Amino acid sequence: MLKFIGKRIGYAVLTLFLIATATFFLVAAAPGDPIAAKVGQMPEQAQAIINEKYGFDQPVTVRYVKYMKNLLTTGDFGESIVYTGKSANDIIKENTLISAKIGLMAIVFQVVIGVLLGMVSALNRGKAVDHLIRVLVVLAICVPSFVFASLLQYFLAFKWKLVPVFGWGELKHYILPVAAYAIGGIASYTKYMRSSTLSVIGEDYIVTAKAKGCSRGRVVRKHVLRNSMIPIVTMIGPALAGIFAGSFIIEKMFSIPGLGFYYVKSVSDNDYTMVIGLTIFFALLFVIALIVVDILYGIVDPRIRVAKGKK
Amino acid sequence: MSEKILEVKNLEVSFRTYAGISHAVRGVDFYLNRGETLAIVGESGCGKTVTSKAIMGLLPESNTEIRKGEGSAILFHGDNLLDYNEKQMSQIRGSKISMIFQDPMTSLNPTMKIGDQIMESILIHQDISKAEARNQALEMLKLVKIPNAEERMKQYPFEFSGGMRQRAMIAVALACKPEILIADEPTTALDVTIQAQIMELIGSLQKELKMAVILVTHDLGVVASVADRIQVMYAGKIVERGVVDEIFYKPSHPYTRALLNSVPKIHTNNKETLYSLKGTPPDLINPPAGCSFAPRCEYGMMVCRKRYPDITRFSDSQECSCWLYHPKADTAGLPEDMIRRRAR
Ligand SMILES: Nc1ncnc2c1ncn2[C@@H]1O[C@H](COP(=O)(O)OP(=O)(O)O)[C@@H](O)[C@H]1O
Ligand code: SF4
Ligand SMILES: [Mg+2]
Repeated sequence: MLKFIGKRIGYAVLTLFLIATATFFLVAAAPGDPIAAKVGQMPEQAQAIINEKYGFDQPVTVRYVKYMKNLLTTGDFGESIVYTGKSANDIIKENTLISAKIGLMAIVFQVVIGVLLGMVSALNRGKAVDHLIRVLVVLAICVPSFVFASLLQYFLAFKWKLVPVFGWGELKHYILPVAAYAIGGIASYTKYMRSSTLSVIGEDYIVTAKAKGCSRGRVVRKHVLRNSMIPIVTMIGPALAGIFAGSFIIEKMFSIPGLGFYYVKSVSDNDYTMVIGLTIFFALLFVIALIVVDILYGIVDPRIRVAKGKK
Repeated sequence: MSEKILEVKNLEVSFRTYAGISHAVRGVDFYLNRGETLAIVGESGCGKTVTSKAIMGLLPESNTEIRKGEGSAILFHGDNLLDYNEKQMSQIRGSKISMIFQDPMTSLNPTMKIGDQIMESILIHQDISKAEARNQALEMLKLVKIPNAEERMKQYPFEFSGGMRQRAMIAVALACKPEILIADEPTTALDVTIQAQIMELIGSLQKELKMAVILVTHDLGVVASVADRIQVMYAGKIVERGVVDEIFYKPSHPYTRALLNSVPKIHTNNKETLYSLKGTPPDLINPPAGCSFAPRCEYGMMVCRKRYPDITRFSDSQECSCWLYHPKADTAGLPEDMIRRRAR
């Protein structure tokens, strides 16, 4: 197992390096001038000073070597072009937690509710509950999250005044964005859980469990649940990694000062350092999440655990 | 001394399918004595598994129709299991009547330790502590002759070979020392060498635990050495039954004879003489009115296709449903022994 994890970490480092390199050159090749966007017209001399400060007077390969050297030795993503005086690291530090909180809360709801609904749907296959759940799932998957966000804002906040529309800081401010974020995921987890439960129910070992004298509830708890969760666990990994990606739109809609909000903004601002820094940061989270999933997967499915242990 | 512990009376099972109603079991009667081995033999699809699962109450509720009342019953110690509700059935399953299945590769829960799977039935049916259950499970593993039982308890099914898994399945089924074991093709999915070992194991455990066994198989060769009585099933009906010697040495029904001819004999190494049954069993959605074997029978007569044959009794134990034994039947071309049996 340890050897396996070590190998995965090796690959992860390589992946990160490739992503960092690709992003660096892509961003450098992108049209648009960050300095111009920031300050507009300014004397040539001043422009030259800023260009020198960020190294834009040098060829891209030289800048790349310098950037990587700095990143590897100090872990510094460099100073933001738009938010002068702040490094990309500062912005990540200040805002990651908010995005992470929203994302994690949403994922917890997605998995818990999705697994429950999926099971209920599968165990009542063909009955009214099943049909209802399936219709709702299709609806929730087809309608984009910003539409839900607007609907929730309109009804819960504006019309019924149950929760605040805007504002940030308290728990109640999380309700709308988390709900809007979670709905699509709930639907997909429900869908996958339903089909995976149905296939587990048809397995021979479920007949064995009944033949042993397991009650219906026990069959579901001890034999169906764990086995039908296996594909769900594989989905949680990418979902964890995508926490931030999912919250971009939501953060923008609800004006939440999260990392997604800054990411979208720095792309439109042409803020090179921020874009590169945040991309590497997201990639880092992604590969970590994938490794965590592999470990989780091994815990749920003994076949993988032992097979890896023996390697 | 023989005490009937199970009696199946006029069992009729049908399934609602997209193609129509499939009459899988069409009036099956039999009984089982304490401690004996009854073999149910027939080609694949003749309703052996459906009969077994009907006894266990394991048929899918959604599309299954089991005839109830008016002479139809599954009597276990005189109580009709068809009247039992799900809860009552689950108290019988695994404790009084157990079942093992054809494919040991898929019949064990892949994410549960072998030890836990054996302990589960013990804990469900007995009011004992986990530690005691663990001890009993360990004893079971030793009883089914799994080496390193202590260690094997903690392993998962995928760490077991096919034969070992079937042993583990047997341990699961017998953990509560049931009165009846239904073994549904327990060796079909295994290598030939392992088949004999598993049959031997079932035989020795049967004696040790004094249980009755219903051995379901499509292979008459498997049952010769272990069964007390054999009943031959065709298209959802029992066409012949008798004690082992009767079935092997005095087979009466043309289908039984065909089955016997397709069993490889130890003394003939000449494979060409091996007879293989031609044709396929009838459609169970529209079963034929007369004898269901008629389309494949080499002795078929006019009457065979019109009316189902009456039962002819040859002894206390042997009987058969075939028109050839009717006094008026045309005996031209019949083998010697069949003619002799008619005369008796
Ligand atoms: N759940 C089911 N739904 C519909 N048809 C079934 C079902 N189970 C069994 N059958 C049908 O019943 C017949 C008998 O099957 P089975 O008892 O499994 O045969 P076997 O003698 O090989 O064990 C087959 O034609 C099979 O297709
Ligand atoms: S009843 Fe007729 S068709 Fe059926 S087995 Fe006997 S001879 Fe053959
Ligand atoms: Mg079968």
